[in-house]
Amino acid sequence: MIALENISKSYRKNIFGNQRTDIVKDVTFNIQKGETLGLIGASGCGKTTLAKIATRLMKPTTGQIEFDGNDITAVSETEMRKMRQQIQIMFQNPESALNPRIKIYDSIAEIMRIHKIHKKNTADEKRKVKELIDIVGLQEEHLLRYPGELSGGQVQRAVLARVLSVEPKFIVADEPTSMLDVSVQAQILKILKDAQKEYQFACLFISHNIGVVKAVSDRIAIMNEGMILEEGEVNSIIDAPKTEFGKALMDNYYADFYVELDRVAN
Amino acid sequence: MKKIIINRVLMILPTVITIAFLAFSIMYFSPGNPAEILMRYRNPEGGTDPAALAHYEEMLGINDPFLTQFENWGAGILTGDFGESFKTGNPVTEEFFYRIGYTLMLSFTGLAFSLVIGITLGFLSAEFKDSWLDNLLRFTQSLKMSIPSFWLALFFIYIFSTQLRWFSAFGYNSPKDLILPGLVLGLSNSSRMVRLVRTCILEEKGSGYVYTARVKGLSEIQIFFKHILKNITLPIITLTGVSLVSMIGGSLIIENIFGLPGIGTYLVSAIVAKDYPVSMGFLFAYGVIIVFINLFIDIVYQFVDPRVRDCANAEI
Ligand SMILES: Nc1ncnc2c1ncn2[C@@H]1O[C@H](COP(=O)(O)OP(=O)(O)OP(=O)(O)O)[C@@H](O)[C@H]1O
Ligand SMILES: [Mg+2]
Repeated sequence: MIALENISKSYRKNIFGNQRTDIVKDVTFNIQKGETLGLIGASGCGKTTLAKIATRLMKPTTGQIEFDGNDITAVSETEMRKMRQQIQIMFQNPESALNPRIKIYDSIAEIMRIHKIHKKNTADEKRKVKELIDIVGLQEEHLLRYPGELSGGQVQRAVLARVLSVEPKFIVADEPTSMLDVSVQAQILKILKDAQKEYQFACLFISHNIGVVKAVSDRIAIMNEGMILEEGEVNSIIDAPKTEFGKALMDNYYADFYVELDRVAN
Repeated sequence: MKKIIINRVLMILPTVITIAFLAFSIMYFSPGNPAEILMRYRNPEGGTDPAALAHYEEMLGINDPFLTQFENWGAGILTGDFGESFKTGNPVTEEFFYRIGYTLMLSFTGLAFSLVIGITLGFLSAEFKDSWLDNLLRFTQSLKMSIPSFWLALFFIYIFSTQLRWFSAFGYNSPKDLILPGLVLGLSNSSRMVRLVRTCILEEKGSGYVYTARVKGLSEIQIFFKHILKNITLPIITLTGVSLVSMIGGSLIIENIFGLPGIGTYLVSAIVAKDYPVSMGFLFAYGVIIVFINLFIDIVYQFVDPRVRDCANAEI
């Protein structure tokens, strides 16, 4: 469904001169229909940058993006806008994900209006929004509120409702639950997984929490300093990482896991 | 914060007294004898009869000591009595309220233009940040600051009145005659608005919701009007209020160039005609209006977005 080939992104370091820093270096991966690729990496390693490139919110410096059989690396913004419906992304921070001055209902419905699925405030639109909030677990009273009047978890549910409303073929979830507590996290991940079973979208799931990635992914890629170090089936990566960085990451994960187990046991 | 506000309010009284003192002194020490001027207005063919002159001097009390005269004038002001115009014989307050309407119309037209110009150019500047367009806009903003508004006014009159004949160059016959002076006023006071809009947009563009809007498939212009504008209206409105002072202040020159019958034009012609009561009264009123708007702004500032403060305090 989506394939990135030799993607790099660099920024100019200083205004004068031409030193550049590479944020993303030569990244290649692909995700099939109905499949989830988990992306793990430390903070600042370039995950969000990669997410923006995969959704063409940003152009890569070099490399190629192929979506649904078409090369979208260099299509114009106007062309891209028409395809937006098929490529959706959820961001990390629920606080700023939605326009603070627009009510939840309109934040969810706007995307359907843009892509001419429903007209503004029609009965069809209202029915569809209601259906969506049932799926993501919001109540009707939430629809008339502003984002500031919802909890972080509720905002992410609303974001998920928007993402699902257009039945995209590819979804990027950039640490969608990292700021939520564990039980809410689990609920939202389950909604995402269930939706994937139904709609068969490809998903790039980004997180620095190995437990979360393990729960939702079919394959895992480990990223560090802009590069993908290794990639493979969930269990093979978690049980037998091949790189030093991967080993250290898993050791940490298990150490944390045992600490947590200890805490729960006592 | 409360303290600052109380301080500002308490400062009003001495400030107003100082303005009254200055307005009075300027006219008191200006060359010429008010009695003689009044006599000429009342009786143009009367010649220079010393007895008549003495009568007028007596009537105006111009042989009293400076402070006595100031007290008498000040006491009148306190009761709302600014005297009568030498020229027309009408009460100064009446002349004032008749003309302030034109000044306010011009100021608000200028405000509307500065808003439209500020939002349009600010949007373009932010949208094409660091491009040649942004640089050009920023260059012209700073260039504009150093071009006096009367120069701009003469330039516009030359282009739009003399050459294109779209507008009349002088006088007021219909609201259409406010367009050109309003444009000049708005343009020469729009730099702060352009900068504020640019800063605010660039700040908002980093927010998640703007990316979300892009993901939804909105164009940059749609994102601006449907999403960003809602989040930056408050600072824009605040700066608009602040700009009103510059507009009223700037209207003095613009009114005179375009011959609009506002208080600025009348004040200048009163000074030229040595119409003492009008000159003193209008100078005083101008000062007081500006003091009160500034007081209002100072108070608003206490509650306001720091971005507005930065833009409003910069230059001019
Ligand atoms: N516009 C930019 N110009 C220059 N450097 C940037 C820019 N945007 C991001 N960076 C840098 O790129 C690096 C990667 O940022 P990115 O947001 O992709 O990291 P991340 O892996 O998502 O981190 P986190 O886990 O904290 O979300 C960071 O060091 C950041 O400072
Ligand atoms: Mg990130």
